[in-house]
Amino acid sequence: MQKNKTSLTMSQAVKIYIGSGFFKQTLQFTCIMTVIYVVTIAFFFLMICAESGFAAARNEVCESFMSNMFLAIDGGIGVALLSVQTFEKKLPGGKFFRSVKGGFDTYKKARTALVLSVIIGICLYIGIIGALNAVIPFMRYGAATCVSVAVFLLLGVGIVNLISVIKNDLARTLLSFMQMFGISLVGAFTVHITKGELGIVHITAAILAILLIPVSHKLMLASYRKRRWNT
Amino acid sequence: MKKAIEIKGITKEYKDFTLGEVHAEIPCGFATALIGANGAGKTTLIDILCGVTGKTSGEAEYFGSMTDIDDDSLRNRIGYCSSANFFPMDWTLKTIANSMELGFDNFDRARFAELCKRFKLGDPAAKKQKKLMKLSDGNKMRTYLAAVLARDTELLVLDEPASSLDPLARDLLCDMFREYLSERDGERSVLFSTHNIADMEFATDHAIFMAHGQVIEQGFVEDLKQKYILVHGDGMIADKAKPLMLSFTGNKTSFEGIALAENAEMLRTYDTAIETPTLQQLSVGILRKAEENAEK
Amino acid sequence: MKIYQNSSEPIYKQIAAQIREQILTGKLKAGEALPSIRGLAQDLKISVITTMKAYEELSAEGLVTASKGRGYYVNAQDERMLKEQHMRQLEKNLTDAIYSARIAGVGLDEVQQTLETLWNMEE
Repeated sequence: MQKNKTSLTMSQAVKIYIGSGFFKQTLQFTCIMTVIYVVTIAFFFLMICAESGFAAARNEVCESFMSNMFLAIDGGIGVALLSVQTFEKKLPGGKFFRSVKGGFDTYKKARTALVLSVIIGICLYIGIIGALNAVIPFMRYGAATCVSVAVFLLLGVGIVNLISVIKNDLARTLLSFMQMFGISLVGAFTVHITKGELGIVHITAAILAILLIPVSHKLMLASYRKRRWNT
Repeated sequence: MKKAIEIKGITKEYKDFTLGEVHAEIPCGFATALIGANGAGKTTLIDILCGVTGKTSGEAEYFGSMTDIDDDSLRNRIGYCSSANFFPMDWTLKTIANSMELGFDNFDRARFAELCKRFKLGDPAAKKQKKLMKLSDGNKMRTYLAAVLARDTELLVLDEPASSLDPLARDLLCDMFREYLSERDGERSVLFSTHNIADMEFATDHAIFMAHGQVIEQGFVEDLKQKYILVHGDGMIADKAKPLMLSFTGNKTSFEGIALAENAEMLRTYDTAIETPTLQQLSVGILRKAEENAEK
Repeated sequence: MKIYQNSSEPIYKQIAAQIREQILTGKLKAGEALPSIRGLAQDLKISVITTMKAYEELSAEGLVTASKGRGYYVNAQDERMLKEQHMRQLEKNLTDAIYSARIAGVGLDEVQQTLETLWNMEE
């Protein structure tokens, strides 16, 4: 255990690690995800619109589930990209991070802050898209899909924590991406199957996510300290 | 004599490499060079001393009393930087200042700006900032040095600071060492590693030589220069001189190497040329001897 | 101060010699502080240990004294010791002259004559 408690806050710890504070990081994450979603959907809509007209575009993008699927994919990739950032010693910055005050304690705070930032970011991103959908509907089962995708993305965050115990960098990264990609799509498709009803699957996933995130996070940190921090 | 660090039997085991046991001293108030070939274990030792890498066994005592590198009051007193990729490559002078300011208690923004100016790196407060990845290796190293020197520390630990610098920047680095030591006369120390001591000779007071994970020689440079002699001779007498020498290279025309000063008289009778070695010549001799021993 | 970095004479000896001369000629007076070891190293662009060794040599000769934590100070040079130092220097130089004379096969008479001529020229 650390002998001396450092006075750093989580936001300060994350600033040491990524150069910007907690709020800026969360905001940035949310904005990038939202912008990518809106731009992509708008792009496809306009492209099909120009080719085959408004009705076809509406059918292809909104009715046929494309907008729902991309909500999941965009979220999944975003979470995966942030979650595979583990500040290894051999990567640029790795040695600096290991020399700052607090040592592993600071690392712990930074990683915890980043997970919180991802969780808040997911909620904000999906919240914004959901609100947009409420104004101009472009998703089938929009509200239910938003909730479901959010729940499964959060479950994914927990599973990525478990995956990060794997030592091999390539395997860990690939698996994290595949897992996030898969689980976010599961989130979108379950709503399709239940025809817009939120049911037992979603409740179970939500409970699992709430339980898994803190447990897996602790596990991930313990394993990191033992096997990767300063070996 | 006061010590900045006393290394007491530190070891580190890897699958394919073992460091130590290392016993060594970093005297307080001086610049110590850690000299060795690539792969000798210099970086591993420095990383252990700075808390970047964990040790397998042994202990280091810092500033005469502290032993726990995880103690913040100790981390704050040590100014460490590595030579490659010390910071994330998408960082700028501004990001570095933001991060360092929180990462240590003694980072001085004004001093950082001043050092950046001195190293011709730009202004860390400017709106437009250049990412580290866009800089040359030399300027990256200057950035790391500016960052670490902007902290008010008592011990600088620099891993290969000179290797990516051009001759002018190396000269400036030597000046910075002497300035750092002189600013608080006798209370500050420098430890740096190098595989090429030539340009750093006049900024080195104490030397620790490493080969194959072991310390093979250490001491104050002036003492080492009295302990060893540099020997040159005609190829004809090589056979006679060789048993008295520690390192030996030669051909049929001539030979050279180092020997212990106590053998000077004897070697002189063989008509050899005997000189005081420079630190560079001494390093070559000592490291070559280690290689020869390893081959046996 | 003037230093030859590539001379066969060690740098610390060059420094010691120049400070010794300043003390013997009275440029550095008794009680005056020598520059700090690390300050001088910085100014001369040489290692700290080199200036330290120069100061230690002067200290061993009794020309300066280390005062704990405050650097080196020039000692009061009493007349007899000063004279002794000067005589030592004189003897050293004359020994060199005798050495040269022996090599050249020049006798004592001729050396004395040369000395006299040179002495008068200097006057």
